[in-house]
Amino acid sequence: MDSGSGIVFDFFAVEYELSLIRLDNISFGYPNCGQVLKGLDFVVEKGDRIALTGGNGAGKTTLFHIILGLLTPQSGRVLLFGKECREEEDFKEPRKKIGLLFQDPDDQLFSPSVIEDVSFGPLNLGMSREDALAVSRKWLDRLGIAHLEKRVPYELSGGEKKLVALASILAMEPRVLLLDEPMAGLESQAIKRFLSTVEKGDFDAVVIITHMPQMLGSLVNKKLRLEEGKLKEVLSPTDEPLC
Amino acid sequence: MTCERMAKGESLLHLADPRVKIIAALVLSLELVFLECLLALIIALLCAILMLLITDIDKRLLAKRLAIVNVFLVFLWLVIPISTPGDSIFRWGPLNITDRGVFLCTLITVKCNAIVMFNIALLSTSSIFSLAHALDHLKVPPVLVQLFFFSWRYLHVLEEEYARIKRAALLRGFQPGSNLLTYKTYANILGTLFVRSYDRGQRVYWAMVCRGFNGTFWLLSHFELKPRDFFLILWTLVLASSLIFLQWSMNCH
Amino acid sequence: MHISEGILSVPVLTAGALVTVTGLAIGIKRVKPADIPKVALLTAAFFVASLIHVPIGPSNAHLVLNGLLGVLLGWAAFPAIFIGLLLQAVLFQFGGLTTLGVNTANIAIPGIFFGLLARRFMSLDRPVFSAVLAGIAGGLSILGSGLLVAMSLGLSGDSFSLVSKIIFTAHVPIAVIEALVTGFIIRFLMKVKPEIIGLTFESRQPLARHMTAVTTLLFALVLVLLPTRASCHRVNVFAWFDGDKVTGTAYFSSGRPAVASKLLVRNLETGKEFELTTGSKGEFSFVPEGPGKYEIELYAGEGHKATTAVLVKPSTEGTGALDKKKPLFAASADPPLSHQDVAQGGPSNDTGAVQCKDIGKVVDRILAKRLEPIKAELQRLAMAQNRVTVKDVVAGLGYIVGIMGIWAYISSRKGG
Repeated sequence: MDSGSGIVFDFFAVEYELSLIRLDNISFGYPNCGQVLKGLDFVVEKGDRIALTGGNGAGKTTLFHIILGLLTPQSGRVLLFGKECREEEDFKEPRKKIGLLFQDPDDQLFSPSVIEDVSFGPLNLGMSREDALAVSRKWLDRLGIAHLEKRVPYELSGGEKKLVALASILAMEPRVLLLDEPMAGLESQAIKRFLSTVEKGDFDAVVIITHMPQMLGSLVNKKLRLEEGKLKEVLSPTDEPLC
Repeated sequence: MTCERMAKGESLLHLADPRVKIIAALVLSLELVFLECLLALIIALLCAILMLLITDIDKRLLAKRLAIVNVFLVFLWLVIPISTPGDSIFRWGPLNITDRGVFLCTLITVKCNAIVMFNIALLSTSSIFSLAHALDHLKVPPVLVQLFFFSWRYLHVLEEEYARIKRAALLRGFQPGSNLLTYKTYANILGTLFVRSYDRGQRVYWAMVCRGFNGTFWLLSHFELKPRDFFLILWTLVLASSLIFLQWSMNCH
Repeated sequence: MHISEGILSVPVLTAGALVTVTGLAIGIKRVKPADIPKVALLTAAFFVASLIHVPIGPSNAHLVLNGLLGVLLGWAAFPAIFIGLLLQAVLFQFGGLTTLGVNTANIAIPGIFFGLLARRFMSLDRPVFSAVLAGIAGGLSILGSGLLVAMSLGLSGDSFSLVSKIIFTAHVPIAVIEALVTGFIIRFLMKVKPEIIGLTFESRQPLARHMTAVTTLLFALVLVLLPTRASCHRVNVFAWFDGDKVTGTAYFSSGRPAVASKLLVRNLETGKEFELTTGSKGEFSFVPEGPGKYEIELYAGEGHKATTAVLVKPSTEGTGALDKKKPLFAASADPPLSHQDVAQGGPSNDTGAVQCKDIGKVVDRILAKRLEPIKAELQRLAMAQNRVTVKDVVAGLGYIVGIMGIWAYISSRKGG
């Protein structure tokens, strides 16, 4: 079902189609830990560049995992590209268009070489071997880590791993980027390259979980804070937390 | 820290096709198990040493590994010569060392060391990833290959995690000893390690699903048999058949 | 804990390999694609745990935690242990390819057996009880492994009997530590992450029962397969009565004579006993003191014992040790035989030739008669060797199950 079908059916779909990601009244809790998210609403529109902050254990990573259907909320609805997603099957297509960068790059990198790891996603999208290699090399080059191609991922430094993990997401050429602490552990040169890559990239929307929203500078146009299970917009610098 | 210290190198055996190496190691180990002829075993041991010399692995590391392997054999040497019936060659009080016991121990020692040396020369000179890749080509069930591969991939991550948890415990005054508190503390450290491993396993799967994983592990590079691999195959066949011939012609049991 | 290369006998290695292939086939079937990273990560965690040396008295021991693996992973513990051992073989050269089967089976089977059994009765409502149960399973798993290791060694040759006793004894203190650590870990996990326990349960009770049943089968399989050894070093004693004296030989089943071994001969009628020693070819002989049944016991050191019995027949049967005074011909020339023989010789003028012929025939007769008991004994032995015992049947069944296991393994490879 492509996005065009929404216009044919009813006007609600038209409204939803504008939102790339829409969470309605999401509640989620882990056993033994109480409720993390309590009736949370979240909308990502085209052109959004959102910085997401919040204390430790506030549920930022959980929120990302709910968006991609990795965790199932106890209540509420998840709509991706205008279509409600309930079952594992429903999430399969949207996942190809939403790239999620995990907090720990070790969770993401498992292949015996960097190039194999980066081309894993493109190959899963059905690309030919040659195309997959070409697109992988392109993104490695843009992130300035083309020289790591033949290296073993687990032997890389923390910062290098992070960039390789980012390349492995970007190589799938997603429309929306969800980045979980992308700058933690990166040195300033790598942060600059990362920021410029995200800025130049032609993404519909980017959501970045970070403890350092000020580092993002002009890249973001919206700041949200996750507090007590709900999202609040941060309007002035004084609202920003001290981290 | 666990690492493939012997897998780094540029020797003929390091560069050989891991598929050929796995099969050669299997053929030679299985054959040695059947061999009962001391002369044939000694020749096998010499050939194994020759192959180790070709690999050019650090001699000190090699000696250390072989010493560990031989610890169990030392234990056998202490027990078997006196517990095996046969003609006495030395008697001291109730201890009676028999010729058959000494012969058996010699046989086992030569056999064990020869097999281990073949394994070092052929298997330990490959990286685990290339072995996993080769196992895949050798039609080992994919689930087994994937488990093997993932376990190795995350071994280092977990070792670091364990080291961090233990360091934290040591910093808070944990002193291992033979007491209940020690066992409880180790249990909690390991429990933490298991929980983190479990969670990480979950995340690794999620990360794969997010990148469109549908059960296929892609292989970008493929093995190709080179002249040196045919040389290794030939060497293995000649060695294996001449050992069998030797045992048969010597007619020893 | 695990046995090095080049020590175990071929049948033991084969049995271990067959059992492990079967276990792997079952284990692999239970690992769903989504569980692969989790099982692999837990495998790696157990590998790390196995590198930890825990103090125990003046020494230390490394943890095995096979009972805990059984509780957490169920059947998936089979591939997990297999991979752990494969990694050890490649990285540290502990164990190797040929012993991979036996070592995996020795560690995995008790772990899965006791682990699943414990899990059957564990519940989240009773954390302390469950932890104690898991701890007992952990301890028993190590004892079970120790027993299997000892058996693998002991059945590889009688020379290993003392070694295997020592090894089993060494497992006892380790079992205590493992029980404590396993119990504490389960208590921790029940508090912190209960869902980790029971990674592979789909539906709790029936599955657990099924698993226990299959493990029992596998357990039995090992017990049955291991005794089918070929290169054992049992002793045999073989004796016969040749008319004058009892002669015999003593040898190991490998064919090597039992040299200078002690023999105890007992006359079962009179109860009299005397000792003998075998010669350089394992041979011995003695003159019996009278007719009756004699029991000969051979002691070839280290508890190697063999017994045989010889029947010494009284004089009426033919010449015997007791009829020495009688001339040879008188005893052997049984009337019908000799007459017939002479008659069959036909009319002849050459009496000397006839006599020679007759004597030859008579000697043949006598020899045939005297060899009869030996023939009978040989026949009896051959029959005993060819007789199909219950053990052979069960062992044969075991091999069939093993081959089915290989088939299941191959089919799981195709399916997976």
